[in-house]
Amino acid sequence: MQIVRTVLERVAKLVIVVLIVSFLTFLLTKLLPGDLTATLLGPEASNPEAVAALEAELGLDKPMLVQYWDYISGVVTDFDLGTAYATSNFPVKDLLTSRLPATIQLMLMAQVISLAISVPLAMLSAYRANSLTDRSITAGAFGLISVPSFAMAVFLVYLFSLQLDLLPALGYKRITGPDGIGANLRSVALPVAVLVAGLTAVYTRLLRSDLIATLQEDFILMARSKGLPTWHILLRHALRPSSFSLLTVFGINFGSLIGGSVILEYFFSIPGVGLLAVESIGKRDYLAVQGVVLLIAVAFVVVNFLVDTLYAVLDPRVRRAGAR
Amino acid sequence: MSEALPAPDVITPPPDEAADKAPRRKSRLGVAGWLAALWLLAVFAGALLAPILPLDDPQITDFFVDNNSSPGTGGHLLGTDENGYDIFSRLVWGGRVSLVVAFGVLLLGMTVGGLVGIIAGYFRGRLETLLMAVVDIFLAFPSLILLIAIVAFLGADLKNVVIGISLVSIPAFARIARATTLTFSQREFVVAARAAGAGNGRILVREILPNVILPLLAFGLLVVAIAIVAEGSLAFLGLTSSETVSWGGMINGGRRPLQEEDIAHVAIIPSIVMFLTVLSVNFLGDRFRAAFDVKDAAL
Repeated sequence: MQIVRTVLERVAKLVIVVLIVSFLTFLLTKLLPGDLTATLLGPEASNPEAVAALEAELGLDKPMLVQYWDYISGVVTDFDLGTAYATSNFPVKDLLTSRLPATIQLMLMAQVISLAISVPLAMLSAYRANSLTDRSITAGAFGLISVPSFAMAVFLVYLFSLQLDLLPALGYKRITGPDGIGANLRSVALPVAVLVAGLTAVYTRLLRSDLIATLQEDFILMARSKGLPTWHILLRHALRPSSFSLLTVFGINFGSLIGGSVILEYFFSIPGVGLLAVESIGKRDYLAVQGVVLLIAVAFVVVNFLVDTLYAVLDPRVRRAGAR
Repeated sequence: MSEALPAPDVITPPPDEAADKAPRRKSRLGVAGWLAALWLLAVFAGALLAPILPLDDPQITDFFVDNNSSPGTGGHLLGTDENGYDIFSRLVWGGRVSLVVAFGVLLLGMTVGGLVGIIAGYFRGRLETLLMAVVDIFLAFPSLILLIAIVAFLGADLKNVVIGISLVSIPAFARIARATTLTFSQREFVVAARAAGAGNGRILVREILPNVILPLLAFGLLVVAIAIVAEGSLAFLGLTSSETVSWGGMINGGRRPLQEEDIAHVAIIPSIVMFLTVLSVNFLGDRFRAAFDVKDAAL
């Protein structure tokens, strides 16, 4: 019963946060200067009657709270995110679903690959703390963290496209496209590599310092004195209790990567959600902006919820404590 | 890659260094530290002295050489860019923007965020709950998108970029200030001051503030690195005024030569400068934080 209550409480909290974020996004697009009618009308925007007519048509003349209510109730009941007026009147929902696959592909590939690289690296580094290996890994990670993603993109394009002529310097090929999965993978290789470089550095540093702390614990000494092999101790005993910060940041990144891939989508001309956000902000296409932010906020909150739940799975102490 | 602000990009959590602090030697900076300081000093001096240095005008096309000409051509130390502007001169001038952003964010973001955090951490209770709830909600926004929106809507000039980045950095400063204040507000010297009859105002200014400010500043260096990248990201996305010379803008200008004409130096040179600057700030910040033992976990 306790568990059901905890879950319900968390879901309620989740809904409230999403509502607040959606309202603030709505406010933001209203409060900041520049508006959609100017984009849509062009030179006609100096004609107050035309502006008023368009505002009435789009429902922009209603009181703000009514506008918000119309919007959010549409979202909740019909999953209707409105129309992107400045983007050929596409429904925002369709716009998002057409842009999501590229972003999700980048995000998933980057997350999985960087985790696969950083866990063994961190274990190696932590086990041989302060050795030459450890110091090289730590220094490398430190350096990588300091490379802005667009700078890394420049370096990798220079190396792999210009010098080695191995990979395309820009563009995105859909998996369903005529050239199939090979072309798709080649087109995302560089942007994914940029993301992986940054994420791997962060994950390795986090896990390494937590592992070093765990390896000082008595139960590790115990395992060692039982004569268990090193890999067994690292994998079965140390990894699990050391994975909390890593898990938190890993989770947060699922949310932030949706927006964070803006730079790379722009650099490599990949039609993803981040690029959509930038384009829509430029056009003051406020419903599209709201749609993107709402999507990211929901992803963010839901992932955090899942991470919280995972804590309980990973750590029996959290499980028994029930609601925190 | 920062992206906490923006994270620009991906959120980079400050790594927890507490675990491996023990064997650190007493020597303060080391060779790498001095190199980092030297580099920053050079950027800083260049930025300050740009108007009186014998540089080409960063906004004037040299019609005597080709656009995108390689380093060394026609007296251009690092070549010219797509508009025929001198790259070296633009690098020096671009440092000004990074400098303004760095100081602006420290001044604005750290002051406001620090104040919020100290008040929340000192007075606790409902006020703390309220302030921290606001901070948490702020953090639930995708920060780069928020930043892009603020700057795009307010108008893309340097002032608004600084305001935008500062706004986005407030929650992080508030959190670190609150955490640090919490650890100090129960300490004996605060209790003693209160017993001696000091009011809240006096305790905050004389006892709490001096203890919070250095960790906050140490954390501030991390935010400075992120802020420089954030400004670069905005400029890279074209969100600067046309008069502003910014490294991010230079990299953006080098995209077409790089990706379509196989000319690399226009994009690569500012990328390297930006990397070295961020690396130096991060490195010094790391040393600084280790010295003050800022517990990043408190974030």
